[in-house]
Amino acid sequence: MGRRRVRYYGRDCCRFDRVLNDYSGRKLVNRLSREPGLQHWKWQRGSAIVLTPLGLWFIFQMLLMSDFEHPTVIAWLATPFNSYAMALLLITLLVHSLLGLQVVIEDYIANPLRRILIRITRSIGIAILAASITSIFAI
Amino acid sequence: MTNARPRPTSPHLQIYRPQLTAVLSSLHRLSGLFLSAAAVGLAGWVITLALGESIFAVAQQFLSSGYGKVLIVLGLFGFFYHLANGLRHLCWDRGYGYDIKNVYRSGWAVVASAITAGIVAVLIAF
Repeated sequence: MGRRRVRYYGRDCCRFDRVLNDYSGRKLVNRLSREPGLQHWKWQRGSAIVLTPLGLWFIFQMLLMSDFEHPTVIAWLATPFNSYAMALLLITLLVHSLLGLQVVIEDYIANPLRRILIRITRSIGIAILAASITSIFAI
Repeated sequence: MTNARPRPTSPHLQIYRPQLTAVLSSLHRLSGLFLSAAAVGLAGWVITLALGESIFAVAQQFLSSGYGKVLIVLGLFGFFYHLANGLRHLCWDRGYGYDIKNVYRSGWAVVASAITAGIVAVLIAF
């Protein structure tokens, strides 16, 4: 069984459905989208729109915080609204960052290293995201 | 083919007169990179919050040191710049403001609002 040559997926190199179909050589999964670049574009804009109020909310909350003693900050984060808003902020922030970093990597780094770097940044980003979301709800 | 006379390369950024459009575009990317690092820092700060009072105190000690303050100020200006220029990008995505006159006008508006919001935030923060 010859190993199929897997092509570069552009702005979408980690798309699960495409990777599976290409490696298996048959159509295991229905394609989610014919235009991966469009997905990237949409997610980047969507996360930007969500981040506008959320980012401003966070900055205002930090500026209004009376002090940064541990109990004060814990009490602030422990309210349901604040914890869910913080979780949503971190998720959207990391998604937006990873999409942006991917474009920067694609613009300046040549191909073999490019794919590896995109995967590494994604893995690190997702690990940090998981740890911080767990922290919020562990408090 | 000999390379006695090197072929011209482009663009010569070092002799190119800086233009508002190009400067703001690279600033958007630069602030995005900085804010990505800040996002990791924010996630780390939340994690220290859950790890306990003594570890959170170390994070706070760093943030209130000179280096920490410089990073916070840069983060605030970077955030407001990236936000304002991001909204400008969203307007372009909807098809508005593409002519040169409006590109410059919105560019200067972004600079002015980012500096104003940054200064106000820094004054409140410290």
